[in-house]
Amino acid sequence: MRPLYTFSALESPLHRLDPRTKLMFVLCYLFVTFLLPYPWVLFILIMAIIWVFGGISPIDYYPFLVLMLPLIIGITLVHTLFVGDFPYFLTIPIVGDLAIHFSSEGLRNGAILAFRLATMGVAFTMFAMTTEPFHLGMAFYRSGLPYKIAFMFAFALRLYPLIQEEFIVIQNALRARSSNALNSFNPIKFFPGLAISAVPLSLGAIRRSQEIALAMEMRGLSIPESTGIVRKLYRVIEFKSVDYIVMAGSLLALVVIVVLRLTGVV
Amino acid sequence: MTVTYHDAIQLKGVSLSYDGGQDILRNLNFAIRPGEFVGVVGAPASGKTTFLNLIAGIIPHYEPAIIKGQIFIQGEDTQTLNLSKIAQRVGVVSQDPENQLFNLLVKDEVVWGLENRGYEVCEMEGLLTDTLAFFNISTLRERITYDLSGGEKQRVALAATYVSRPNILILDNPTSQLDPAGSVMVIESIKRILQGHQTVIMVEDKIDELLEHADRLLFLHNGEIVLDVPPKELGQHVEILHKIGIRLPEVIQLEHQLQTQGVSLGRMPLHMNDAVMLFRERLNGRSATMAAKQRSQSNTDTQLVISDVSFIYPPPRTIHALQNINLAVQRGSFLAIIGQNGSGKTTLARCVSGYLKPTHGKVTVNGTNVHQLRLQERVQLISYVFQNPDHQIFKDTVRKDVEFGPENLGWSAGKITEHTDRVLRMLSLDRYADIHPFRLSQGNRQRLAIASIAAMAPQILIIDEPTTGQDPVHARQVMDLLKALQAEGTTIIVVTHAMNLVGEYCDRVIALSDGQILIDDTPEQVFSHPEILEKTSVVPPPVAQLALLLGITPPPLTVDEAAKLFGELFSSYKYP
Repeated sequence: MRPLYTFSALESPLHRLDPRTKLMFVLCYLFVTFLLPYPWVLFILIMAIIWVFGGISPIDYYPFLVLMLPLIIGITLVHTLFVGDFPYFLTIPIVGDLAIHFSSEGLRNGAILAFRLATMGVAFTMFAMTTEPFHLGMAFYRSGLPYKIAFMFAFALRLYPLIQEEFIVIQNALRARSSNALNSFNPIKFFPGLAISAVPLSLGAIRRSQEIALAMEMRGLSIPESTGIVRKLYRVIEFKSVDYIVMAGSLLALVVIVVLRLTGVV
Repeated sequence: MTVTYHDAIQLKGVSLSYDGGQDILRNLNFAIRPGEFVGVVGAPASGKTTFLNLIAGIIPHYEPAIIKGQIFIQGEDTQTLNLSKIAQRVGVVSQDPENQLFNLLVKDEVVWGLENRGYEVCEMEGLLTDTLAFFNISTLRERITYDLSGGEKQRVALAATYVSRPNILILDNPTSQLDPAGSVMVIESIKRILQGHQTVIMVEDKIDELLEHADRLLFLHNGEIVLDVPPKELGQHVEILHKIGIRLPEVIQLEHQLQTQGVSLGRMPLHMNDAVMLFRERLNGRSATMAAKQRSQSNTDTQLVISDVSFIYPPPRTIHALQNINLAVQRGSFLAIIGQNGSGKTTLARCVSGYLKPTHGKVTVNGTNVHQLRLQERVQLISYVFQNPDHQIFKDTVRKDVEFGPENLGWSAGKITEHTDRVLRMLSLDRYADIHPFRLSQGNRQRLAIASIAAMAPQILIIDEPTTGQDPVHARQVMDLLKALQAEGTTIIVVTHAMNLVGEYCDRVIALSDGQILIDDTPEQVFSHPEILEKTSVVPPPVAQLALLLGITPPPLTVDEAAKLFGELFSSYKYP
């Protein structure tokens, strides 16, 4: 299983876009998700965009979709049972006047909210799967962020899947000691398990980051600052025509939808 | 001794301590000339890594310590330089390739040091292409670093350090965490570096690699340099090396043992080809056969059965990791699973121990399908020790960590104490019972990982790479402990690359290649077929290689066996 939210090294139009362009697109898409009343359409649309323009089918990130399923069902159910009002599309009598009511309005509102959240999740997944962390970091550097901060930001993204993998190993190591705590849905078992696993996980992360920091220093991370040498980037990081087109298109679509929403058309 | 600009490194009366405590390094005085290849050797805790960190400037610029004396790099006192200035002259490659690669793509990793040094893009392009070609890794240029094999990662780390052409290259056990194929790749790369004019200083537990190429060997003991000799003079100092706990290469041990039996080869062999030549001269055309070794396989009761097991990793990787594996393992066996990285060893071990469910087939222990058992039942039947001990430490004292598993099994306090005390004593950890596990050495942490599982008294114990990253002395200690557990009736299965230990300790060897069993037999028989093993990049232990090259089959697997064989052979020969 691919760790969640990790880069998928492919050659595709989405991968070739500048990270700043994709960030702009994702932000516009999120706004649109909250403006349009049919988020499930946008949910399917974003998956289609990832597949067609990113070359990544939903099978590649199905664990993420599976993880979202309980969230979608839970939010919808809570709204259907507890938040929504009359009319009810189903009523199950319990005792006397006591009954469970399934609200049509609650179902609709719950589904809209759940799909909005799911769309946001998939949109960010698209960004993570098609954006190389260092491309993003260096794009921020080009935009004026200090090099060390930009690089460390990118490095943190790079470290994330490794920590996920370590967590899985620790989860299995706990099972080897007859503890299923991290696989339990029972919070009384799960959270103590999480606390126990935090020790090897955090110590491992600290050790790893210290060793990597040392490797960086020995490869000259601080040479520009201490010697005055000007750092040069090997990769060309600049906006291309397609970036301008996508950014302009995203902003235009957002403005049009805001106007349509304000005028009551949608 | 005067400081000359031409010395790559010079230490004058250097001692080092942390927090004013006992000296870790003592009164070091020596110089390394430009272009020299110096091997640094020492038993565990002799101060090797501290020594390397000191001459690389990591101490005191990254890791504080109290230093007496002076350290010069190309004539400049390291205390007057900062780490960036030192980094412009010194390159460091450490043992764990995972922690040296921090870019996503190989090409970015290699040029990263050049970016920091202000190279123009066209210069970077040229140096990138040349360096990748130099290390024979041009095909990796666009690959993602974390998808590479261990050997590929370490070669990328070497390339990323070498690309800026540091005058001094420091290598800290660069092959210790690699499989045999990966080690061969990295050694080939180091040989290429040695053809240049760089000064190379390398700590390496496998002295065989140093003997053939090093100009000098420095032996450290308790923080002092006790010997500084060229490899060819090593034979004159065997007693000192024994005294300081250095395990010599097997062919040298063999020569030494033969000498004690009154058989002289004339001189000490430095490497395998040299040994073959010397022994061939001495054998003078005679051949020999080894008597089949008696293996302690008294129990014929089948305990573990693996029936037609296949495993396919799910998308997006979709790798057929195992294909129709069939095995039966007897109670009380000591079994080794060998093969190169990606051959399916760990996948098989995890399918057998229940962490992965086979795509097809089943695994039974005492007739029960392990995948249908509850966790608590399963871990008492078959349990698994993961490779990295640091991922398996959950409590703040050694004792509590060992007790953690039995507590989860719901055992009584008396039973927990009894089992904990027994395994702590057995694994020589009882004196550390009340200290924090992270204060233990790497070797002791590995033993603790084994103790924590052994305390649950599983009938079958699977250990993934029990000796990786450990020096020969600790590696042997771990294997001795497993042998002791086997003697108590536990079935032991190890996944390992350490062929000398397989030859010495295991009753049965299964070699995997591409998810299939290539050969399944006793170590003598398996190592008698180097042509089959070649497919797995596995090479027999050195004494077995020597015997096979001399036409002796089945080969001896340990130095003692080889010394007995050759001793008898040579002493029975009447010289003309």
